[in-house]
Amino acid sequence: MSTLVTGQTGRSLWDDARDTLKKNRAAMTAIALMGFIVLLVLAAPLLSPYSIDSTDWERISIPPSFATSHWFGTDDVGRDLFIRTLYGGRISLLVGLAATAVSLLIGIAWGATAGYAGGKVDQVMMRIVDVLYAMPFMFVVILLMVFFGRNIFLIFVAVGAINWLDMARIVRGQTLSLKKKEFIEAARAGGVSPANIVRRHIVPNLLGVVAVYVTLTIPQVILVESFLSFLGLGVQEPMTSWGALVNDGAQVMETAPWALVFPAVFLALTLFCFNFIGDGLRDALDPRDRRDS
Amino acid sequence: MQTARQPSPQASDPTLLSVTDLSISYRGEQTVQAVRDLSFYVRAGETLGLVGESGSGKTQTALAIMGLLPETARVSGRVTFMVGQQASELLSMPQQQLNTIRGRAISMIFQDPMTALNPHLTIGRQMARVLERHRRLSRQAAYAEAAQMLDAVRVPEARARLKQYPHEMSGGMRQRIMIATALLCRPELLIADEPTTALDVTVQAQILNIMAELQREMGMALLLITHDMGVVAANCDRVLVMRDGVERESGEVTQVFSAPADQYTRDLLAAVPRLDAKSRAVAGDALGGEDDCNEGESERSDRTRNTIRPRQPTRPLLTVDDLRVTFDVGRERWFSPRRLLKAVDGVSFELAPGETLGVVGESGCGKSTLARAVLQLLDGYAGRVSLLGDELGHLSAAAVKAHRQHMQVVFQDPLASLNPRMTVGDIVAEPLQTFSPQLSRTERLQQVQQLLAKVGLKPEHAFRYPHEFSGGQCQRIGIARALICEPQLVICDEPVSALDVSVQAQVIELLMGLQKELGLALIFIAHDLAVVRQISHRVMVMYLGRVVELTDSDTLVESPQHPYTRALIDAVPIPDPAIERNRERLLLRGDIPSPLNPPSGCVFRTRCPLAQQRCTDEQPQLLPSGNAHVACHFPVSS
Amino acid sequence: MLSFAFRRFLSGIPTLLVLLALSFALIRVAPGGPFDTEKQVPPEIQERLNAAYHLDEPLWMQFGRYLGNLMRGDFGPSFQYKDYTVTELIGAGFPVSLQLGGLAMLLALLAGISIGTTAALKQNSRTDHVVMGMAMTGISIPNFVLAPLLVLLFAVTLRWLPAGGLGEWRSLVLPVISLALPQIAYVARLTRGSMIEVLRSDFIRTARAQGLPTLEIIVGHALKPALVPIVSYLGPATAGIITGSVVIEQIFGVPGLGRFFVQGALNRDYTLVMGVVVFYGVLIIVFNFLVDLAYRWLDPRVQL
Repeated sequence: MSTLVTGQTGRSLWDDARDTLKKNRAAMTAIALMGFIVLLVLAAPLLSPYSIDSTDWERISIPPSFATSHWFGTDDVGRDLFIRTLYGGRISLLVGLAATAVSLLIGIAWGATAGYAGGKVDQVMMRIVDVLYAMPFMFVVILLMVFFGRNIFLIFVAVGAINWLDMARIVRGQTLSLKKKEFIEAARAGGVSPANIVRRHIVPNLLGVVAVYVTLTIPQVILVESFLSFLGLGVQEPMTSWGALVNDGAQVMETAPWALVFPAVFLALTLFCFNFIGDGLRDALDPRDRRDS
Repeated sequence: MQTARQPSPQASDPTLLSVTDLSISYRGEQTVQAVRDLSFYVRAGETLGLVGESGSGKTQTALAIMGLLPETARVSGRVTFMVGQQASELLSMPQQQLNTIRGRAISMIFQDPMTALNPHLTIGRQMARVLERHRRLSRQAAYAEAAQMLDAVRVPEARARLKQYPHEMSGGMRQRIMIATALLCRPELLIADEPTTALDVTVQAQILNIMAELQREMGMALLLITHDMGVVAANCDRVLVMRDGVERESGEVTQVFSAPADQYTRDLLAAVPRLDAKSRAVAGDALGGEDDCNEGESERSDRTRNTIRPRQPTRPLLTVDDLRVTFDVGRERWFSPRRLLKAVDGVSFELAPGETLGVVGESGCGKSTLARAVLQLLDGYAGRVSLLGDELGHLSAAAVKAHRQHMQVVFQDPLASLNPRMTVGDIVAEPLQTFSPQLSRTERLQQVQQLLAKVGLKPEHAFRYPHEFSGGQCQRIGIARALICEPQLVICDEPVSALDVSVQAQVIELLMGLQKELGLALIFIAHDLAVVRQISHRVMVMYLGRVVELTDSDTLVESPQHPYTRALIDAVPIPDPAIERNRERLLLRGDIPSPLNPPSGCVFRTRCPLAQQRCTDEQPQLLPSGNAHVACHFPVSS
Repeated sequence: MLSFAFRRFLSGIPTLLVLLALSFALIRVAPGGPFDTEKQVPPEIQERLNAAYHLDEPLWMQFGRYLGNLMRGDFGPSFQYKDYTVTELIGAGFPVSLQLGGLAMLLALLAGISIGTTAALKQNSRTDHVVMGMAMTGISIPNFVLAPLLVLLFAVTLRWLPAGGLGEWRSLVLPVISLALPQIAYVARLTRGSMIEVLRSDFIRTARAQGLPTLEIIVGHALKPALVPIVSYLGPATAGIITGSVVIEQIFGVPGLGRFFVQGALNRDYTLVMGVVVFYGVLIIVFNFLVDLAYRWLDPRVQL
C-alpha cells in the first residue's frame, strides 16, 4: 500500500480572481472608500451630539460649522444634517442589501429551476418572466406605495420583486450552458445524484456571475429607493434616506445648498463605489477575459 | 476518380515572397518569444507547407506577413514581397499602402469558417465589398463577378447564395465561400491557415482538391499552414517544420519525408497514426500473449486472447440491440408538424470483455449520441442496451446507478470535462464517493494518488486545479476519473481529437497500455479513421445515424465494401508523398444531408457514385458479406 | 419576416392582459377611495357617486366595462380633475413628455454610440480612461441629484438658461440633458464593451486581411453586430427615460404626463393613474415589438 503524498494546494480560480482584483486600483480604492462609508454610517450615534429628530431652534438652516458641531449644517427645522445624512445612509444601504437579497433568493431559485428542469417547465417559467419584464414596474411600485402606505418593508419587497427578473434570466442562462458542459455529464455517468450535481458542480460555477450581479444590483436598488423617496413616496419622517434628503435639499438649494450637496455626494459616492467594485469583480471573475491573457 | 497533384513548379521560378530573420515577441510579465529568426521564401506558383504543433508560431508568422498581428506584438526582420518587378518591404509599410496589397495580391483564409465570415452580412455583400474596394467595380458587376467565383469553387446555385447569410450554410460551404472571396482579385499568393482542420475528412478532400485546381489555373503560390503531415504530403512542394517558434527543418517534401534530418521531424512523423499501418490492437494481442507467457502470467493471457474478439462465443459484456434515439426539435412554424431528428436509427452490436470497438463517422452521424444512450445519459431511447446481461432500460434508477460503476466515459474536450472549481483529487475521487462511500477521505486520496501515478501524473497533482495543466495532462486526469472505480467498459468520445499529434500518441499509448493491464473493454469514438484502426479490434462505420459497415479494423481499411467506407478511407491523407501522389481517389459530392430530413431508402445514396433506383426505394439492411457486415445493395468488393 | 412580426405582435397580448388585470386589481383592493374626505358625506350621496362611477357593480363587471371602454380609447373621467376625461389629460400631457423623452433618447443614442466607439478604438489610452471615468460618474449620479445641481449652476449662478417652465427651446436644454446624461453613460459603456468584443472577432480579422480601410471596417462590418446589445438595451432605456421624466418634469415644472401621474397617485385618482399605467404599458409593449424587429434585422441568426 502506497503512502499518502502531500503537496501544496494549487491556485484555484478564486485565488486568481482575488489577485486580479487586488491589482485593480480603481476597484480597491472603491472597496476602501465603501468600507469607510459603511463604518461611518454604523458609528453614526457616536460621532455627533445630536439625534436624528432633535431640533435646534436657535440654529435653523445654518451652514456647516465646527463651532456648533453641525458639521453638515442644519435643515429648515434646525435638525442636524450630519446625523441625518448618516442615518439616511443606514436606510439606503439597508434597502439596497435587503432588496438585493430578496431578488437574489427569488431569482436564483426561479432561474436555476427553469434552467435545470429545461423543456416545458423552462418555457412556461421564462414566458412569465418575459410578460413581467414588459411591465412599467416603476409605476406599479409607485401605486403600491400610494395605496399601502409608505412602508419600508414594502419597499424591500417591491424593489426586490423587480430586480429578480434580471437575476432569474442570468442564472437560467448560466445553468443552461453549464448543464451542457462535459463535466456535468461525467458526474452523471459517475452516478452523482442531481442534488449533488447542483451543489458540487452547478452552484460553485454560478457564484462568480452572481457575485458580480449582486454588486451591480445593490446600487440600482439604492437608486430606486432614492427615486421613490425623492417623489415623497419612500420612508416616512422622522426617518429619512439619501433620496429623501436630496429631495428636501433640492427645495431649498438656492438658500441652503449644503442641504443638497452633502446627501447627494454620499449617495453618488456610494453608487460610484458599488459600480467600480462590480466592474472590478467582473474583470476578475469573467472567464472570457481570463482566456485572452 | 481524380489524382491529386501535378508536377511541381520549376526551381527557376522567381521568388515571390521572402521572409528574413523574422522574430515576433510579446512583452508582458514574462516576454514570450513566439517566432525567432525565421527565414524562408515562396516561389511563384509553388506550395510551401508550414507545419508544426500548437504554439509552434506558424500562425503568428502568417499574421506577421499580412500585418495582422495585435499591437502588443514586437516584430523584427524583413518580409519582402514582389509587386510586379518591384520588391516591397511589408513589415514597415504604412497601413494605407498595405491595404492595396492584402486582399489583392496576397489573400488569406482562416481555420474556422464558422467565425471567419461576418454573420450579420449577406455573402454577396461581403464578397462585393472586396471587389468594390480593389477593382473599383460597380455593385452590379461585383455581384456578377462574385457569382462566377462561387461557381468556380463549385458552390451550387451561386446567384441565390449571394443573398444568403453564413449561418444558413454548412461548414464546408462556408470554407468554399472563404476561398472564393480570397481569390476574387486573383492574388499571386494565398496564405491558408489550417483551412480544413475544422471540416470533416470527406469535405477536406473536396476543398483541398478545389484549392489545388484553382492554384494551377491561376498560377498562384500557396503558403499552406497545417498540423497534418498527411495534408503536407498530398499538397505541398516544399515544407518547413517549426517548433516553439524556430525552424527545425526545411526542404523538398519528398526528401523531408523520406529522409528527415531533424530528430523532431522524425518524432513527428513517427507519432502520426497512419491509415495504412496494421491495427496495433490486433497485432498487440498476438504479441502481448507471448509476452505474458514469458512472464508466466498465463491466466491473464488466456483471458485476453480468448475474449478479445468474439471468435469463440463468450458472453458479451455489452449488447446493444436496435437502438434508436430521436430528438424533438420543435416546429418550424405554427401548426407545421413537429420535426424529429433521428440521431441514432437502429444500431445493434455486441462487445466482448477486453475488446476495443472503434466507432467512426463524420459530424452528425450520431456517434456521440450513441455513446450517451449506452451510458444512460439520455432521457429516452428505444431498443435495448444490456450490460453484463442486465437490460438497463428496465432497471430502476438505483439499479442503473449501481451499473454505472462498470461503465465510464472519457470526453473530447479535456478542460471542459473537468469542473474548474474542484481540485484534481476531488474530481478523480468523485465516483468513489458514490460507489465506495465506506472509504475515508484519506483512503480515497490514497487511491487517487496511486491512479494518478499510473496515468503518468504525479501524486501531488491531486492538490492542483485543472487549469494548471496542459490539454494532454487534463485528458490523463479524465482517464483517471474513468478508471477509479475499476470499470469493465470505458467509452471514449473523441478522446484525442483536441490534442497535438505527439500528445495524441502518448494518450493512445496510455489507453492501450491500461486496457491490456486491466482487461478493459473500450468503445473508441473518433472521426479519424487512422487513429481508430490503430487502437481498435473491430470498427463500426456510421453515417446519418445508421451503421453502414462493421468488421475487423484491418479488413475494413484493406478491403472496404461500403462505398462510404471507401470514400472515407480515400479522403484520409497518408503522410507519405510517394503513396499520396499516385493515389486513385473516390471523392464524394456535396455535403452530408441534414439528419432532420434524411434521404429515403439508403441514406448515403445522395452522395454515392454507385446509387441506383433500388437505393431510393429500399433501405439496405446490415447483412453479413464476407468477413464483414455491410448495409449496401451494391457492395464494392466481396 | 411577416410571420415573425405577426408572432411577436401576438405575444404582446398576454403581457397587456396581465398588466390590465394587475393594475385593476391593485386599485380595487387598495384602501381608501377617491371620495374619502374629512367630511362625512351623506350615505345617499355616497351611493349616488358610487353608482355614477359604477363602483357598486361586481368587480368583474367593472373590469369588463373598463376593457370595453379602453377598446374605444376611453379611459373614463378623471376623479380629480372633474371637468376632464383621462383621455384628454393624457392627450395634453403626453406630447410634452414625448418631446422631452424623444429628444433625450436621440441625444443618448447619438452621443453614447459615438463616445463608446471612440473609446473602443483607443482602448486603454488616456482618452479611453477619461471618457469611461466620466461615463461611470454619469451612471453613479442619479438624475434627480444631477438636475438640481445643473439648475444651481446654469440657471441660478450663471443665469445662462431658464430653470424650468415650457416655451422656447432654451427651456428644454436642461431637462433634456438631465434626462439623457445617465442614458448616454449607459449607452457609451455598452457600445465600448460590444465594440471591443466585435473588433476582436475573427470576421474583423478577415476584413482586415481583405485590405479594407479601418473606417470601412468599422461602418461596414463592425457597427451592425456592435449595435445588437444597444438595441436590446433600448427597451430598458425607454422605461428608464419614462420613469426618469416623472422626476425631471417635477423638478423643472414641465406639465407632462409624469407630473399628472404623480399628482394622480398622491390624490388617489384611480382612473387617471390606471390610464397612465395602461398607456405607458402599451407604449412599452409596442416599443419592445419594434425593438424585436430591429434585432432581427441586425442579427439574421435570431429565431424567435
